[in-house]
Amino acid sequence: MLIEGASPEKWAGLHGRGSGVQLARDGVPAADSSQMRLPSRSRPSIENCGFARAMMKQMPSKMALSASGIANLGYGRSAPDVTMTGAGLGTSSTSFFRATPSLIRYEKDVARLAEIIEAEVRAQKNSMFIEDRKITRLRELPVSLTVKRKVRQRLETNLMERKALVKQTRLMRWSADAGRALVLTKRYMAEAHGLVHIWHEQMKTIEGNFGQNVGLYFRFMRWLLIVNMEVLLISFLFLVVPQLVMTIYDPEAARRSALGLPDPIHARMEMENRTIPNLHFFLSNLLTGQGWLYSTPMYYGYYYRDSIRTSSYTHYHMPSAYLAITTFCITYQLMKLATSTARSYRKNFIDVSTDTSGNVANLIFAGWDARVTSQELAELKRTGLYQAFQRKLKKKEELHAAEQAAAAGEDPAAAAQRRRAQLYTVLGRLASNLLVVAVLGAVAVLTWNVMGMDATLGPDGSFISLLGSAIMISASMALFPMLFQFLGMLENFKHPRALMFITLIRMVVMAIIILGTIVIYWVQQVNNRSTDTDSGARDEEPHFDIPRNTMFLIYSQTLVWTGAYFSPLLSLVGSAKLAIMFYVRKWSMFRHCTPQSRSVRASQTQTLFRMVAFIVCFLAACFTGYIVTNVRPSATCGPFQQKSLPSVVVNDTFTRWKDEGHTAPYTMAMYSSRPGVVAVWLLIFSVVAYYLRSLALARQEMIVLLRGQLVLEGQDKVMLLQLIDEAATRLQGMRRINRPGLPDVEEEDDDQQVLPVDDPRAIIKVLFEPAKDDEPEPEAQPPPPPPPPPPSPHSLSAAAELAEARLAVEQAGKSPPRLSVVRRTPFPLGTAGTGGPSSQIRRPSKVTKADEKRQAGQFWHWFRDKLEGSSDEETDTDS
Amino acid sequence: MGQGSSKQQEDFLTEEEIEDYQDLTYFTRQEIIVAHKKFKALAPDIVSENRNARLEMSVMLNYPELRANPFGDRICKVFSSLQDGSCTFEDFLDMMSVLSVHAPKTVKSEYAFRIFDFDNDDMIGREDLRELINRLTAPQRITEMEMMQLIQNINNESDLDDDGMLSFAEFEHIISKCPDFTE
Repeated sequence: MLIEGASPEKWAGLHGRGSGVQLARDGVPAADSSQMRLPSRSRPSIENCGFARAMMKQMPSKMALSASGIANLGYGRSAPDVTMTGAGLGTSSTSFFRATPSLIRYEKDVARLAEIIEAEVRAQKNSMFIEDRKITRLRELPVSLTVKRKVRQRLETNLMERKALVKQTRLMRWSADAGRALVLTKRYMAEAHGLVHIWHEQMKTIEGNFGQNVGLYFRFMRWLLIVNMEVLLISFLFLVVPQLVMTIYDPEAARRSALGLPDPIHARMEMENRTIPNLHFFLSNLLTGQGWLYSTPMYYGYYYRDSIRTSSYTHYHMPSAYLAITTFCITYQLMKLATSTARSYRKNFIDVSTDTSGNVANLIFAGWDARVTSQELAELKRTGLYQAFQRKLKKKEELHAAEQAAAAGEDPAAAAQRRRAQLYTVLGRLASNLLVVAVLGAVAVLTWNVMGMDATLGPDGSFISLLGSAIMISASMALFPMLFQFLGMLENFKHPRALMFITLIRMVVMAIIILGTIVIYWVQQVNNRSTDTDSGARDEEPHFDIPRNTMFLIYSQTLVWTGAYFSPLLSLVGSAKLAIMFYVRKWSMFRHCTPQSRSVRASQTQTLFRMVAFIVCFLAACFTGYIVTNVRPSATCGPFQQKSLPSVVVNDTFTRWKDEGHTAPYTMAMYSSRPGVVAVWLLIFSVVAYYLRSLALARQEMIVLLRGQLVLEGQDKVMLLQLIDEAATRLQGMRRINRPGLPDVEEEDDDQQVLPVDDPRAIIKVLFEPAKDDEPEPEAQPPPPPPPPPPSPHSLSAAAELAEARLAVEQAGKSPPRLSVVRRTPFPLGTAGTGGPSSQIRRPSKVTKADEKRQAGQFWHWFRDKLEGSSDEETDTDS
Repeated sequence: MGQGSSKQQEDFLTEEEIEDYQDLTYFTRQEIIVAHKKFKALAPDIVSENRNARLEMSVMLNYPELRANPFGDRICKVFSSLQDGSCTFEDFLDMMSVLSVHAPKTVKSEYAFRIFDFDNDDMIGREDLRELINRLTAPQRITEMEMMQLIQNINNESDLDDDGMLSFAEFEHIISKCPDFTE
């Protein structure tokens, strides 16, 4: 289990690479050395033993495996060198270059990087994407631009050479061209996309002065603006332009349609009786959204009720277009919101599913906001972090104390007090929630009444009464959030985040209630008149209040979504408002607000806002759907004045196609709307949903398992390193006792090592059997047939092999004791000098030449066999 | 506009160079030109004379983001091709590219690791953490006791192999769990 998933090559790194790293650090380029020695200054404890550290770095773990491909391929920071195979052990040390990246100017390294990229790219099946992939990889290289350029040149030369060697088929040439074209297209797309990113500089100043949190609010605003503009563009092209053309072409018909008058032939009589609304322009119209504006493309009523003839054969059916475009726009926005919310959710919640919010590491490594530019904010941030550290420590201490108290058994008086405090908190929260519900109810009733008042005053009501509902709604949107915030403060939440979320939820519910009341009122009245309320809260507080401001943002956007069906150009109003709001907010923020030092998990909060926006957008879409399918349209104006329901247009279209002779769409539509077919579709969807759900659950379980494995692996690693260090100590001590005067350099012909590395069981004996104190001295041993082997001066190499062997055994399915078990029977450290175990496992005399050879340098092959072959594939016998 | 801007570009960057940079960094053409303007603004005289001039670290630190950043000098050193904190335009572009929003988290964490590895030993050890925390809280000093606790906490949370320091793999693991990691 331990090295499951690790490729054999990875473990080659263990064999000898450790010393390479060590040497490289000392400034000597690492040579091809599977022979190594323990540097005499190293003391064999985990922290000081250079070898152990080197080992540790070379050891692959699941995390290293998941690191970027390049890292895995050996040029990364810590991953083992997999490009090297067992035979050609490291000539250059990755860590050598990593420590001094500027030294990578040697052609060799450039060539190697190029090779790595090529090797990886070649795996790509479709040659069209090779070029693109290459560039992605190139960008990811953690080296300087100069080196990157060299690598790229190298890649190109390689490509040229290969081209010269292999005759190019037309297909190959074509796909290479296509690949380059793809890269260029991507680049142009990026550039075009960059144009959309307006306010780049503004964003930078905001983020520089107020931090990421506030920046995200403005980013959300910008995102909404972009979506609004897109929708605006669509409705402008497909609704406004045809309508304007038609108005210019045939003003009389347009006017008649807008006023709900019948066609001229039989209209002359009625014309006198009908009052024609006053359509002169007043400034107040812009505020109330009435009067003159009725005669502009702003409103539903303006759009033509029938087909617009564009030529004798083609025509543009306005009602269909209107229905299609308005529903498309809301669906498009909903989809866009859904994808962005999902992406943000995945990034900020799923990928980080282990809760790191309490982590000190999180605070330290991600504590700084790199976009900060102002000194003032930098100071604040530092103070904030300082306080955060202290809070964190205090909390940990409290937690610790609480644990201890729990362990010691709680004092009954303290427990009673705690319970009482809890009771108060619960009661308090209950009361405040009741209050909130009451307030929400009151708001609903008030809205209803104001709407009623509005209606009784009628369209001729005064300017003030017309604005009444808008003012009332804006006022409640401005005032009640303050109340909610105040209530939240009283509720004594532990985390500021909880306070923020609860306040936000209350505000959202209120917005939904207000909007819902209005919508229900309208639907009841079946009054196809749109509204264009504008919330005008402009009061500022010392800190920029993100939840409240986001709330307003979502609220005003909801108005746009809800009204979009009645006024296709409402997105114009929305965009204009967002643009103005952006500058106003920015200005007022710079003028009145002080930056905040503390940040509440900015990205996650942002995801939450998006979810809220998605929900209200979904409700708006439902509302539009309801209007289209269930509410009788106005008989006096608008594109659907001759229809019983807007959705009838769809049926009409199909029927017309049938009449014109295109039966296919009609039959298909008829067929697919049959109950049986719909049921089948529903069934299929449910099955797919069920399948995906179970898949997700299974993966979740897998993740839990893997996580557990990772923890075990970490423990194993520690244990292993301890064992290695202990083994090294013992072997060293043994050497000292056996040959006190043995110089370190004497290392030739050491291959008749004391440890038969190819026999795992024996090794396990060495590793896991506690040495006996009363073991006879080596001299007392029966002399082995070969000359008494000099104890290993390169004991580390042996130790590394031990480690590998142990792992290999585990891999091969043998079940050596788990390390956690071993832990309980530690090595008696004091016995290092006896050298006892070596006698037990001394090499048998009958070893063949081949064995010796293998043992000398090609341990690797055996190891690979171990990995690839079955557990029975042991080649050597026990002595 | 086309005429004027292309003329202007010729003063700084050739068309090939821009394309080259587009391939090698995460920037678009516009962003590269903006980056060059910013680089030039740091030392107008030197850069207009020699486009590939090397600016001293003290000059580089005048760049607002770097000046405010407690690791400004480290960032310069890590991205400097001479390792001493002085940067050419290419180094600067490299830096901006990695720090930009377009760069993936893996690349960012790679460089973040180098930045936080103050003693360049390829591991984030206790001393590195100490330095890191001191820089983050600069004017205030964390007491020795608190410092020890903090370091202990970090190691408890993230040092999977219990060796008292963070290797890159461990570091990357933490970073992958930080939603707010921007550097």
